[in-house]
Amino acid sequence: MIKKLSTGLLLMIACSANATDEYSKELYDIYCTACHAVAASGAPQAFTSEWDERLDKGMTTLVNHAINGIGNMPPMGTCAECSAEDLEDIIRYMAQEQ
Amino acid sequence: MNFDRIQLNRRNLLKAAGAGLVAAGTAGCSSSVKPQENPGIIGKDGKRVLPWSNWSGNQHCQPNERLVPRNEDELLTILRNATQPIRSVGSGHSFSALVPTDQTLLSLARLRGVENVDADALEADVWAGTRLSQIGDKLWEHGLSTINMSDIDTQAFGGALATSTHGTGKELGTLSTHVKTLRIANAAGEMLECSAEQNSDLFHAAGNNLGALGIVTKARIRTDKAYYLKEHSWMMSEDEGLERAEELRDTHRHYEMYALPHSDYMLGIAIDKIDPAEIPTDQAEPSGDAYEAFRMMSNLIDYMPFARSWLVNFGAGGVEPETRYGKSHEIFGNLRDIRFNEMEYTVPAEVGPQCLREILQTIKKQNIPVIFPIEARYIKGDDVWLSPFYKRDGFAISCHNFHDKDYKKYFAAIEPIFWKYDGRPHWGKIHTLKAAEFAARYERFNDFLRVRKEMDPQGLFLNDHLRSTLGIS
Repeated sequence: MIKKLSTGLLLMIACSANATDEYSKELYDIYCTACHAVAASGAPQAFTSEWDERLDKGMTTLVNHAINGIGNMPPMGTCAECSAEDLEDIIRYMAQEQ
Repeated sequence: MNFDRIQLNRRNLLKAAGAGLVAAGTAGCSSSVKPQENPGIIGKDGKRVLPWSNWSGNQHCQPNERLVPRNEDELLTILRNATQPIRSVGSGHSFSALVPTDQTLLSLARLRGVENVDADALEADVWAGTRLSQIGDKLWEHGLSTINMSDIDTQAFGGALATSTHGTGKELGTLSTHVKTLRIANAAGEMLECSAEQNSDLFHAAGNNLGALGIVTKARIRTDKAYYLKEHSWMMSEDEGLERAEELRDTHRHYEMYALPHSDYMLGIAIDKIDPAEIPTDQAEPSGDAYEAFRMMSNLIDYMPFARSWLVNFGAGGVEPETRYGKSHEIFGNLRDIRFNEMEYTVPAEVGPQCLREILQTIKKQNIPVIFPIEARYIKGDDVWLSPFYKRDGFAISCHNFHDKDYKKYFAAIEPIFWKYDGRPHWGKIHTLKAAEFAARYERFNDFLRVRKEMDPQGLFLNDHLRSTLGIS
């Protein structure tokens, strides 16, 4: 019984870690795909392992990079509607390997 | 401008210059930006308010409030209860200071989408927060295409209308000229509708409104039946490009040129409608590294400026002709967000090539350190009061430099040339004109000010830049 509960809990945690709300996906589609889904852009590609090393820098650093812009990435990725929390959600979404 | 139209090849450059030197030259390619730690301030509601910067990074501000209304009612409530100035922001593609404010920054990004498409009447409603790149696919589902489009299509539709955003084509006007009706909220929080027949003064002012009249929420646009395009680009000599400009303009639906400073070359780009049955099935894949090639060349020239002309000519001389085919929005649009700063002036169409020639000669003569291509496009005249194309067909010349390279000396050297040819600046790009100079260039300037005052008597929608360019104390 305890084993079953533990397995269920782990599954729930795993699912919630990967769950992305529809709004974050919409923001990704509108603002991020022009670079993060086009390899020639030089930007880290969504849903690949290219995010692993970047995540090691810490989420605060990555969100700050997104806010300020970095390299060829424009500040906020030009998302005027995004909050810092939205940017974090999008980064987590792109960092999922599929 | 769309770098992917130039089939400049990095491999050839590497051969020319030697990989070691190139590697040294490109070491600074990443970013000169020093990230600010924990950017933003705490707003009056206790939540973090992020700073704003435009797309290229040459404009910044720290608003004390950011608002993103979810519908028109919410927007009108905001306006009725406003206690401080509000500037509206689209996707931040203006290089001039149209947006910066330390007070309320309002985005219509959540008022987006294309709806009420009427395929028989060839019309559709487009919300102001819609990215231009989102319009084409949606219209295509209904068997429609936009009449024309800019080559960068990541701007917000509302921002594009505010600044006479345009593509190219002798018989084609700016995106504002495709608008049939507009909805715009005034400072009192009232929604107004306008067209060429209804509230016509407001309509002719709103086609290039600078966000100074109110908040445009939606427009009904004219469209075309869905069509495919063939784009052909080829390199020719600078002299040939300038001499044949009018002939090529007259023989293609869209024609533009990329002049390459310090070279003897110019890229011609001709775009025409094509029957899909004529599209070859085996299209060549573009190399896709033109931007990187220019970037590499620019950094290399920083190390060996004496080789500038040779290098640019070497790169340009290896560019092969290319032909692309696709749905209208696939050919018009630019896939990659390549950052730069830009000055654009529109001169009368008949003196365009002459003006461009003088700019290219000046760059060589003064040895101005720029290799970024200069884009030149023909656009049909219109009747929008503050449009650079007001009552005259125009030749828009766009000068750029990489976003992290100095552009001020370059632009300062060429802006007087534009003045000499009676040029009118793009309102959303870099210029140094003030109200008196605009008034001299636009016969309906004072009419625009009158409509602005009717819409916004207290200056709710003004910032310092607008007060200066419109002459409002």
